[in-house]
Amino acid sequence: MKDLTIPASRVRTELWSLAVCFGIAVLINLGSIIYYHTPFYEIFTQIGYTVVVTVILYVAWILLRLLVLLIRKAFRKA
Amino acid sequence: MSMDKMTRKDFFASLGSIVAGSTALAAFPWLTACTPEQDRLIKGETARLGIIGTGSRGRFHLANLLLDSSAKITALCDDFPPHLEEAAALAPEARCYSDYRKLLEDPEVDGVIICTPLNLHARMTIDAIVAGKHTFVEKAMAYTPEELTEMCLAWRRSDRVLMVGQQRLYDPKYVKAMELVHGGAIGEVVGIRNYWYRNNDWRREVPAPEHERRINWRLYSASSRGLMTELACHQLANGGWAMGGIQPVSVCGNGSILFWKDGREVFDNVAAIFQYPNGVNMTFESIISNKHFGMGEQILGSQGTIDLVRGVMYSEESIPRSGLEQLLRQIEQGILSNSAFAGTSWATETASNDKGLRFVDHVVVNDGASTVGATGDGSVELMHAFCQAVITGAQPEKIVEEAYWSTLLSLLGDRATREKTMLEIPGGLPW
Repeated sequence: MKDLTIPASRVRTELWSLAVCFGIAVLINLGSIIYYHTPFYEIFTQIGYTVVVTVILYVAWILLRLLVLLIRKAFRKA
Repeated sequence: MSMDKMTRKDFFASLGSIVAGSTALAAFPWLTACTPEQDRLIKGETARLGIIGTGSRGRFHLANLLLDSSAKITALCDDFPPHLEEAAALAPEARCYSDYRKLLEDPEVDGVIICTPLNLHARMTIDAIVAGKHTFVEKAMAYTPEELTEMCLAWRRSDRVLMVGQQRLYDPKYVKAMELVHGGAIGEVVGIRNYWYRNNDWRREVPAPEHERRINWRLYSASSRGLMTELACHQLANGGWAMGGIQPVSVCGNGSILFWKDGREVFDNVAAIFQYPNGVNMTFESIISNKHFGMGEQILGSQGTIDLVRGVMYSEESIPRSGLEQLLRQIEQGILSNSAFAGTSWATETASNDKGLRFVDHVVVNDGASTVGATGDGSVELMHAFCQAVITGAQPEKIVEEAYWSTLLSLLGDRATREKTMLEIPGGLPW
């Protein structure tokens, strides 16, 4: 089996992606706190839901990039 | 320390913590007579008691009283020798009688506990009071409304104590529940639900066929009013407490012998609706061929619900959710719902999943399956309160009034179910 090499730049990009997703999730939580008039301490108490939203956003981001990659490949072949 | 003392100590402790400053205590004045202070005052004194009727319930009380240091069993009476022998084995020092009138002549009996079939309650209670004995009679008080009135008038004419076997009167969680109801915690009372489900034939083992009606008296209309007087009688007091002492004005009902077609004469399933002057309905339903829901007593309010049996209060408001949860739920509903078919009027309103708020610690939950008596249901405390009353000669306040209403409602409920009609309930006490 061939060894896979993940360059440091890729790891950095993915970590940044994850951090941005987490930031967006925190902002979503903050927005919903303001919109639904719930206590601000939910920023901390709802961290579990925030992580779930982070994962959903990150997976969505992966799928989006995969889609773009596939479309590009298809155009190249054509 | 004996088990009963532990139980009583716990009772006083829980009662003390619940009723301290309780506004609801005014509705439970008999509890103020059963206190540790009263215990200290009568320390060393004993109530000399005779038990008339030593069947299952009589022996249940006997077993509890034998553990109570303020009680001394001096006499036993039953006209069914096997029951008398069983009781005598538990209390060998007690004199045994087969005729209750002989027991009433016994000068070493200060108070009697009557645990006989329902149709005998009135005659025995009146005879006991006239004989100068403090009297405890099992619920329901009487077989007919007329007998009920006679019993109450006989008691009023005497200076003797009369108490009735309604153990909920001594269950502290009911005081706390009523404090919540009267304090407005569940808003306006809009309904009262009582139910009692079992899955057994309610029969006792009979040694010979000629004893059938004597042992299984609950199943025959000459000696029993069936589920209404045996079970509903306990639960119908809840309505009066929740409604601030106001009693229902009418009752309608239905019943049948549905499953246990074994020669019994009383219904094995009943449903009755009692209506209060302001339109609130109190229901009682009992089926003894399905036990899934067990026993339940619920006060329904416009802002909440109180489950009396479990000591839990539920809010009508939906469970508070975080902002993020609300957002995710709204997104989920937006994705999954189909506006063409899922309008609110189509949606089934399933029961709330709210776990509620427990308002009493250490609640003993009984499923209602026991046909004799259950641990922690107030029976021990009730018997101890009777011992105190026999020693002091002080009638616990309002306890006969409570029993009068519970009995009258159950008797009229029974009549309504048998006649399949609506009956008016007379207001006011007969004295």
